[in-house]
Amino acid sequence: MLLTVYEVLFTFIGVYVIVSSAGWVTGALRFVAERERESSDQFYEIPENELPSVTVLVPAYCEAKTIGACLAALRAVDYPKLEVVAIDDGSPDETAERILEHVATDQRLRFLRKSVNEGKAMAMNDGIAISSGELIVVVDADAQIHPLALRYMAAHFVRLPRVGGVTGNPRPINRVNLLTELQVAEYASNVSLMRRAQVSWGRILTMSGVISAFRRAALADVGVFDPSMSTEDIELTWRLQGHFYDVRYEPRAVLGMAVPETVPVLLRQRLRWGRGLVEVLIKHAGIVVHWRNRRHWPVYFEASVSLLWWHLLLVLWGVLLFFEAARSLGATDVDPVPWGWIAVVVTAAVAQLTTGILIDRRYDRSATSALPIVPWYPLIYWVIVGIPSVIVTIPTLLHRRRVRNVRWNPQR
Amino acid sequence: MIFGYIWWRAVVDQPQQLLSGAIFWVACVALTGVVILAWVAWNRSLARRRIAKFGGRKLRASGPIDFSTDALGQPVVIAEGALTARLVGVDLVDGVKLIEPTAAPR
Repeated sequence: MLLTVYEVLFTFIGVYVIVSSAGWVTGALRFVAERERESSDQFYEIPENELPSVTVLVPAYCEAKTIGACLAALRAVDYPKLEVVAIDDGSPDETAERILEHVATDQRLRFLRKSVNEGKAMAMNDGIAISSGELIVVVDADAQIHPLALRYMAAHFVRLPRVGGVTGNPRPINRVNLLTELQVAEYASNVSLMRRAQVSWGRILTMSGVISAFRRAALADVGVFDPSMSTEDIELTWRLQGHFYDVRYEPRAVLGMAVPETVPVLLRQRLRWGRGLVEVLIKHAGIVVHWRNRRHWPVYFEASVSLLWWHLLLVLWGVLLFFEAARSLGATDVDPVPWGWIAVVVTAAVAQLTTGILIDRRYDRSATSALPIVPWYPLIYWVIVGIPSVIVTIPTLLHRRRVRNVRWNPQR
Repeated sequence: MIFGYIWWRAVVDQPQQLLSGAIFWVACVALTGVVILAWVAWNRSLARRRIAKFGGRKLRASGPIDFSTDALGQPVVIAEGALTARLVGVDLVDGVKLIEPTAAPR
């Protein structure tokens, strides 16, 4: 009986990886063939006088160490109609002082200082309230934007009136240990590659909170950030797409960012992401019954199945350990490890990661140095990032939605 | 090294399972590719037909964003000059959010 359960588990987990990696890779290659050829570069050639005005919001809480580099990168941005609003959400450290140093020397910078800490979503909403740009771009305070990123993003809004949002291509820059290297592979694959594939499918799961651009008119239509959601970026992405605005991915809009360097910080980050995803799946469950939302179905279905997959993966690990223990005690002679199947599954995962890294090499040449650690990704990283998803899913499903706003997690 | 070990165990212990798994993978890649391309082509043809019939969906006309209350329903007052001032403060006074210009830095 246990052996049968074990075989079913292994089959589901393996088939999901194989089918989804095939979907990610083929979808991403279609995106590359259509949108990332050299001939598509003319899409971005917009006359200066046709570029819309842009307000970049930089919400910050306890970012005294990082916000200086962020604002310096923004001051180096090549864009003619630029306004930067740095927002200090009541930080007790010297974030405000660091911002003022830059505001004093650059007329394009403005400073919104909040006396009360209300969380990132509320900080961004307050920034939007005093902003003037036709486009609203959000950049995290620990990130450093590429000088041309805004031009690449703005082109979509100029060329395509239906575009309501564009997200960029975040790249980890603090590569200090195995964990950060694994995240380099993750951002090339699970972020960039999947996002390309999702564009092919019709809808994307989320714009990156670290770099996203919104059309102001679209926000007027669908509303601003929802502070009661753990991941306000996913929720707004789904709301825009639910109102049939196109949300696009622009891999040329590169931005360097800091990723968690320790397992506890990574776990906290993924707890929030996991909780946020479940909240969004609940809030937007209605899309699965409306034919007009059919282009959203692949993303909804994949996100739901992936949550089930994380749960079953951990169950599988438990059963595997049980068999190994039984074998070592001489209770059974069954070898529980299906090496042939594992080789195929791990190879499918490695092929997906490698494809992602090779595609993104055009924008981040250093990403290829993460290739040697790619085989460790499915063996270690799946467990590390799977545990938070399992911890938060059931409690989030059972609890009623919060009405208070979500607070900052300064360490992500 | 770990990758090599897994493959070595697979080839030595379970070559039949490895072969059937590999065939399944190739079939999945091919089938998924066809499904995705068909899904994209189908949705595009529906969109083309809709545009031909109704002229396509236009961006909905919308006015300014309503900031009379914030996202949690808290009343908001945006003082004169806050939209252009370079230094702006946000205070909560008696349950009302007040956004107003502040003094210039020294």
